Amino acid sequence: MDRKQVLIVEDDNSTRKLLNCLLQKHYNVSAHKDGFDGMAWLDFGNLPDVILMDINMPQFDGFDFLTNLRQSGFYRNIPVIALSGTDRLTEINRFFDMGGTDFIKKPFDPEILISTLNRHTA
Amino acid sequence: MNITLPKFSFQERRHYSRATNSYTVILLSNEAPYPVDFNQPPYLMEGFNIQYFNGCLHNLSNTVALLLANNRQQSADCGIICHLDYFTQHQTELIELFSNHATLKYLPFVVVDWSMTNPQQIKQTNLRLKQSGIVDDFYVAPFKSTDLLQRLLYLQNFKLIKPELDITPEAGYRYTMPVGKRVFDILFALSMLIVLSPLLLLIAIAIKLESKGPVLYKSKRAGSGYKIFDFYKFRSMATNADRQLTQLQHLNQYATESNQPAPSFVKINNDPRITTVGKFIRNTSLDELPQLINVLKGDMSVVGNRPLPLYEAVQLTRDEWAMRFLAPAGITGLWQVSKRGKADMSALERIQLDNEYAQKGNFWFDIKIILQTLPAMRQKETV
Repeated sequence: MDRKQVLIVEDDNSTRKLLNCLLQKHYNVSAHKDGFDGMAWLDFGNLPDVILMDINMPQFDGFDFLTNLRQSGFYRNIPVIALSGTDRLTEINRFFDMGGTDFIKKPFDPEILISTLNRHTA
Repeated sequence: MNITLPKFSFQERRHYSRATNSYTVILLSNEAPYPVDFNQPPYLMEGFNIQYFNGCLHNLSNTVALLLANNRQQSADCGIICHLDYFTQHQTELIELFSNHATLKYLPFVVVDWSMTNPQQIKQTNLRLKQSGIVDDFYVAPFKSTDLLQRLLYLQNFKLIKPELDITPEAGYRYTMPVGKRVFDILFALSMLIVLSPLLLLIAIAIKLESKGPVLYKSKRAGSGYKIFDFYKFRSMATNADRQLTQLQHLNQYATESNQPAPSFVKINNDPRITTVGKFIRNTSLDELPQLINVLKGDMSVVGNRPLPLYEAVQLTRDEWAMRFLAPAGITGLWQVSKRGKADMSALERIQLDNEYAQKGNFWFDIKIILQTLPAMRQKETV
């Protein structure tokens, strides 16, 4: 069976590395520090099965990234899962209004993260 | 021919989407005249200046140059939209032309299709077009023309800075222990196990004599890189101790600091579930010795951050604290030698020490911690 590919967009170095550790057993992982790099990586010719992104990032944040994704034809149907420590309901609602697929709150249970990713790549 | 295309600085990269009065689109299609009036539904609306092209592909670059000259556009807002049928038919020539041409290769190249409905087919076409190397995007109707317009503007800017970009994904990161540390661990753990074997045997017999059950207590812990493994200890409680835990929550030493979002670690003073032998091996920290086996197995190191029970570990997967998982897991560590056993040691302080170790851990630091561990093993308090 082919391994699915996950794109991670997360600005925190430690969390990004931790996600890498957690997910590489199950997925091909490509991790980037902000939405700009994530978007560029996609437009360099990649098409992942699922995207896992932080919401609050400097410069090109999760909302900018999601806007760009959903405007595109290639990426508009890729499931996007937000992994964020935000408590603000307005932000969470905005994420879903913009076409987000699922939301996981930090701190997160790695088992739940993996089962959520599996569900959206099935 | 030369076209001056607008240059964007990296600082502006966030502001890709912008307003435009008219975006020139060159439409490559077999159907002549292709219905440019996409009103049903309005796939392409006002704001697009659509130029139909079905001539010889060699003339395409001249057409582009002419168009832009005629429009007297200061910045060249121009992209290619190609019908899927046309692309499939002329794929080889199109790839040849668009990957090599000095100007054309910078223009956004988008393929559209109005008939496809099967999601599986769309996915496969996505992949095929991505692999062609020249197609920047693929739209299947229905789609919003404003989305297409913003995407074209984004791509136009992106393709200009693309050659300067170095996008290296962080892939396959895993925590790897330095070879020196691993060698030290094996030598240390082996010699300790050999030297202490009579003592280990005595403890095992004492545990067996006092209460029924296995000598070792296994629990799932999250170590470095959040790797979950079986963590060994000498059993110091009756065998059903885990189930009794829920009834004892009110005695938890960490339960008082409830106002901050600190993780709830469980630690109970004078826990009634502990056996007599258990109490002795705990006070002397001898219950930790079986972790030398974990060290040999490679689950842990001698010095590192305490591997955590899963219910504690899941509370630390946040930006501030994730770093602790990127260091080796260890039998002893900064936390144990700093002020272990002090009742006022908060969970937060403990994690800060973990992060501190993750940042500055090295061989001599490890040796220092090992030397400091011996006096710390005799605990004044019953923890």
